[in-house]
Amino acid sequence: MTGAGTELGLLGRLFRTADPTPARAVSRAYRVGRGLAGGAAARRFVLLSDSADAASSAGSEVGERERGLVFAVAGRVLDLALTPEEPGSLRASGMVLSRSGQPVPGGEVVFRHPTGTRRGELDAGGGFRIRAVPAGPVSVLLCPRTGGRAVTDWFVC
Amino acid sequence: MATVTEPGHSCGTSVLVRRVVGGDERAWRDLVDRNGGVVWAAARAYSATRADAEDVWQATWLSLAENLHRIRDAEALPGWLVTTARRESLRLARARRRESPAGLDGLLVETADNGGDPESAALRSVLAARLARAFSQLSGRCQRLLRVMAVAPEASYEQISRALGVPRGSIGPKKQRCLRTLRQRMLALGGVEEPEVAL
Repeated sequence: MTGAGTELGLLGRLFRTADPTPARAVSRAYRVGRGLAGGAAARRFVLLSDSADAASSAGSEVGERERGLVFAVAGRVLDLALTPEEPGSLRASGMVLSRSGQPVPGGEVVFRHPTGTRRGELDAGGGFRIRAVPAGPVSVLLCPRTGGRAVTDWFVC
Repeated sequence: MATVTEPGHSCGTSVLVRRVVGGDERAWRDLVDRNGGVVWAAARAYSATRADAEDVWQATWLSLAENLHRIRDAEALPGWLVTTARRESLRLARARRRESPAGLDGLLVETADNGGDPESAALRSVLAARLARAFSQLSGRCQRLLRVMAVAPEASYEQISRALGVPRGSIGPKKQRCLRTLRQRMLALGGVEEPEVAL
C-alpha cells in the first residue's frame, strides 16, 4: 500500500465485506417510508434527563438494571423507568405529572415499536405499568384524557 | 450508496425532501440509499455490536420520518442524520454499559466461519488479517475516524465532523496521523506489501 487513498480504500472494502449495512436493516428503513406520519401530529416531548448519561458521568453503578428517563412538553412531565424483564423485553413504569407536579390521571401511555404497540392505562395517581416492551427502537405516545397528545422521539431501549 | 456532497445531489436532496413530505415512498427510498452509508458508519463506529447498530439505524430513520417536516434546510439533513445516529449510539452504549469497539478482529472470526466463498477466503488472507489487526491496535478515535472515512468516502468533512463530534478543521490532520500510525502498525506486523489476494 502506498497512499492514504489505497489504505482507506482497502479498509473500506474490508468493512463493506465484513460489516456491511445489513440488507434487513435497509429493508426496515425502506418500510419506514410507508407510514411517515405516525406521530407527526402530536407535540414532541423533550428529553430532560437520562440515567445512562448521569451514571456514565458519575462513574457509578446507579441504573445498572433500571434506566430512568424524564421527558417534558408544555404542561406535562413523563417520568419513565425501563427495567429488563426477560431477554429482549423490558418492563416500563412511571408517572405522568403536570408541570406543577400534580398527577395526571386517566388516559393512556402507548409504547410504539417498529412492529406494533404496547399500551398501558394511567391510574388515578398518574402512574402506569407496561410489560413486555420489546427491546430496540421505541417511541412513547401520551394520550391523556384531557389535553393534547405528546410523543417522544424514537430512542433505543 | 451515492454521494451526498455532489452539487447535483445537494440540489436533489431538497427536491427529495419535498417529495417525501408529500408522501412519495420512492423518494424516501432514495433518501435512505443516498445517506445510508454514512449513517451506518456512524452507528457502527459507536456501537458495541451490529445488533445495537441496527437498532440505532432503525431509530434514526424512524426519527427522521417524524421530524422531516420540521427540517427547514434540506442541506442540513445529512448532518442531522449522522448526529442523531452518533448520539443514540453513545446513549445506548452507556445504557447497556458496553464499550464501543470499532475493531475488525471479531468480525473476521465471524466471517471465517461463513464457508468457503471467495470473499470469505479473501478475508482470511494474510493482508486482511494484518490490516484488521493493525486497525484494532489504533486508538478508539482513530478507529472511528478511519471507519467513517473508509465506509463513506463520499462524506464531506462537515458530515464527518457531525458524525464524530469533532471540529471540522481537525479532521484532515487527524486522518493523516491515524493513517501514519496504521502504516507503522502494519510494518510492525510484517509489512505493507500489496495483497496477494484482492480484498
